[in-house]
Amino acid sequence: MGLNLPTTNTSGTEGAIHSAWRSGVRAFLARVALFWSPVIFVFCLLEIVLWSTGESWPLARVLEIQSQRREAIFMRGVLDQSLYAYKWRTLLERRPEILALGSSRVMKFRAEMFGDDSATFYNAGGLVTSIEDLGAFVKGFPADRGPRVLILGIDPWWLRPGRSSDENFRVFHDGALSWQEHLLALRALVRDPRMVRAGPSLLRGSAAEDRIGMHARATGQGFRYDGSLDSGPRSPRRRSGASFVDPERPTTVKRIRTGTGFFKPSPRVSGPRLHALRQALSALQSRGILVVGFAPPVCSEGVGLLETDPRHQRFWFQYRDRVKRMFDELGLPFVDASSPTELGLDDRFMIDGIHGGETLYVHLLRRMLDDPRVSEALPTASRVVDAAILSSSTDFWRADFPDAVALSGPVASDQS
Amino acid sequence: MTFTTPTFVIFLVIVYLAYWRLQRPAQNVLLLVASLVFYGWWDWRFLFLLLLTAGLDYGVALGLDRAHRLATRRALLVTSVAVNLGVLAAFKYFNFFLDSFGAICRSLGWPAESPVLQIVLPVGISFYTFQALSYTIDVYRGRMAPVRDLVQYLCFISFFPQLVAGPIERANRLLPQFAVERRFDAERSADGLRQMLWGFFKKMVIADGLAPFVNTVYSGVATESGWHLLWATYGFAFQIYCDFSGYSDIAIGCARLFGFELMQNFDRPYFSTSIPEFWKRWHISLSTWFRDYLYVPLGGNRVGVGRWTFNVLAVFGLSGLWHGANWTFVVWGLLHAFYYLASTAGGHGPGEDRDGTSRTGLRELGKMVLTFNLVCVAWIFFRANSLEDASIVLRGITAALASGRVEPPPVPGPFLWAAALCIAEWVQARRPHALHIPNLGRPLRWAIYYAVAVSIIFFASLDHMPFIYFQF
Repeated sequence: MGLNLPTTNTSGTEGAIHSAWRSGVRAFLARVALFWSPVIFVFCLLEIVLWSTGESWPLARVLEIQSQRREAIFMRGVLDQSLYAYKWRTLLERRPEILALGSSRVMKFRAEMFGDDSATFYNAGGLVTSIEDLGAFVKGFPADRGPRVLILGIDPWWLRPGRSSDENFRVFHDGALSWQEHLLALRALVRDPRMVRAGPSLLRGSAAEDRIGMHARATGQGFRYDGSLDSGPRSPRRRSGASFVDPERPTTVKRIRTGTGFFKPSPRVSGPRLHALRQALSALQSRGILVVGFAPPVCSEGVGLLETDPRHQRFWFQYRDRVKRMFDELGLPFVDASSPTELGLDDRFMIDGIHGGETLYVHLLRRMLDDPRVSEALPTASRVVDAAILSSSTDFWRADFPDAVALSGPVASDQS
Repeated sequence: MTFTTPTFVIFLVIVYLAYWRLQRPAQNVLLLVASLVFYGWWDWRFLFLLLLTAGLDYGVALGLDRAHRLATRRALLVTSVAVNLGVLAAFKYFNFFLDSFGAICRSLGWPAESPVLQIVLPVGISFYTFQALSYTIDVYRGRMAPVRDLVQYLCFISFFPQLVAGPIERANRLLPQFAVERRFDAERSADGLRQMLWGFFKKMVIADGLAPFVNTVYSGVATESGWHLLWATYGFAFQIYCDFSGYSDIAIGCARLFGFELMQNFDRPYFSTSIPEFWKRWHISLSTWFRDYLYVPLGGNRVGVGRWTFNVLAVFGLSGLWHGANWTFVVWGLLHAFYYLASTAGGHGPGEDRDGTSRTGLRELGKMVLTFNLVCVAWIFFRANSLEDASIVLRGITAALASGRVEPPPVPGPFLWAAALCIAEWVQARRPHALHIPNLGRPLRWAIYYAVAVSIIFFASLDHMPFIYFQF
């Protein structure tokens, strides 16, 4: 490769340069643009799909829309959900007085369950998925914005020794504002035939006005304004003779049997993690917060295995015993709902092996309200919960709230 | 600012559009400003260091032109070399020397603490220091006249396409290009873009695709199986090649957009049939720098066998140290010195090495495979976190090979891309880069360009792996 230096332009006139600009550079740029135009066209097309379904709306816009239309649900399909950013931002803005905290296994508590306090409820389920997350939450959440009541779901795997604790809690970016996430979403969109097939229905706007994001549009599932998860319209009727089928692959039972995923066998609960849990609870308590703990449910067959399989048995019983004892020692209410049978229910109230439906959480709250400390803190919740349990429209997964307070008014932070 | 970010693309478009609207003196000013912005994007404070050493070398070169007494000229050159290497040593080697000194003291039974200073290494310092040295040395030797235009000189030192990871250009090659009018050449620009596209593919698809596997294996060598260690070593061979040659392709292509020609830095090194040939094809700008400014002044191969052996050891040892302040790099360099000496034994010097493009015989293929594997053995020391780790890797691989059982790579995808790269480079042996295909019709050419572009869009890692050579 030689140097091939151009000869010195002795005249060096501006006219010559501009002439080169006009003829050469423009033609070259046109050629480059022509080459990239199909790629840009496809990109633009896909971006239009993302935008028109609400998939790529920034969280700020989503939150604004949800504050205007309480029935709007939000769940992305291919773009990063940015759950932490979504919930953390809302949490700081709204300053809820009643807060549900934990993994996806607390997401079914919803504002309607809390009677007159509905407007001050927020479900931050998914924000805390480990003891380390809980510690980070306690440290990071401003003390002056603390809730009055905190409902905390504690998963058994939080206490497994050796479980690597990711730092998801600190990921507060909005995927809609990241070019990398857009590129990943576009790749997913092209690769995922389901999304291509669902394309026309996704783009049909009017019916899906209140569904923001591709997953919300395709399935009707999404996060409500109060942070709770709407699992969609699909729900077995109570009189239909439905039976429990775990839709997850592999099923929870299989995971327990093979000792994989959340159910990696552990000989005992982790001492340091128990200690960290105690510290977190004490810190919350010292801020005057009533922490109401619970052990989220596992399907009956799963619980049976956990109780009898020698690889899981000791850990499982230790988890249930130590956590409850810790709450007792700290003078905090705790409900062991580790199996639907603990609440007098069966597996038909479970959506999958480790997630209960909304109705199960109504019963769980009812059990919590049996504790005078809780019923005193949530004085009007019993009325709504009892009515929901008695309602004939309540089925296995979805509860009907005939006595719920209308949620059209301004929210707590707006009032403050 | 890194080549593989949208920020750079936006930056490049703006600079490019503005550049071709200007005449030469203004073009140079624009390039200088753009280069300073490009460099300052990492850490603007290091701009002062860059400008300080550049200003000194500029002044030294003018002083050399005026000075007639040999002693004065020598003093000026020594000043330039001492300051440039002193700054490099302070930022890059201070902890290494301190640590090594402490270790020696302790081995002799003298108590010695090795305090570690938290020093941030200015990105590209090894590259621009060597480029600056080539200028003052060439002026001292009378091979070129000093440049009087400060802007031109600063452009030469800070030219953004090659500032942070080369190619390490020679003053007498790059500086004159700033002095002449650049005329727009559409074909050159188009080929520059093609070479950039090829560079992005190598970096973002192959190098970054291999990086997670290689990094995982090399971060815990003690717990990895022998076959994982072997595949990770092969993976690293392609990772570092695609990372660095990808950067060079982007740099060369980018420079061509502005009417500049940079030197070729890689010439399909893994097709070399001997170690001397490998060093004519790998990081050419650095190996020729060491040849011209160290090996030849030491006497090269026109000396006795003992002195020549010393020269080779010195060049390769320092080349290793140039890469990083760690004994693993020194061992890597010395291992290559050993290879070099062994492969040229009896000939006293590198002898004649032919161009490999026309050789396809089985014997030549065997030599290529052998050379590639020798290079890979050396890469173990280059990549390992310590000499102990390197020894574990070597033992693990030996045990795996002795077992007689063959395991495929656990992540085949990036290896398949690497195989595709080898085919493309073999087919395009006589071309400056793999996407230089003027003999094909436009539909086929564009189909190939689209295939590469779509591969990047769909398979590029988005984890923002920094270019490996940035750390050097």
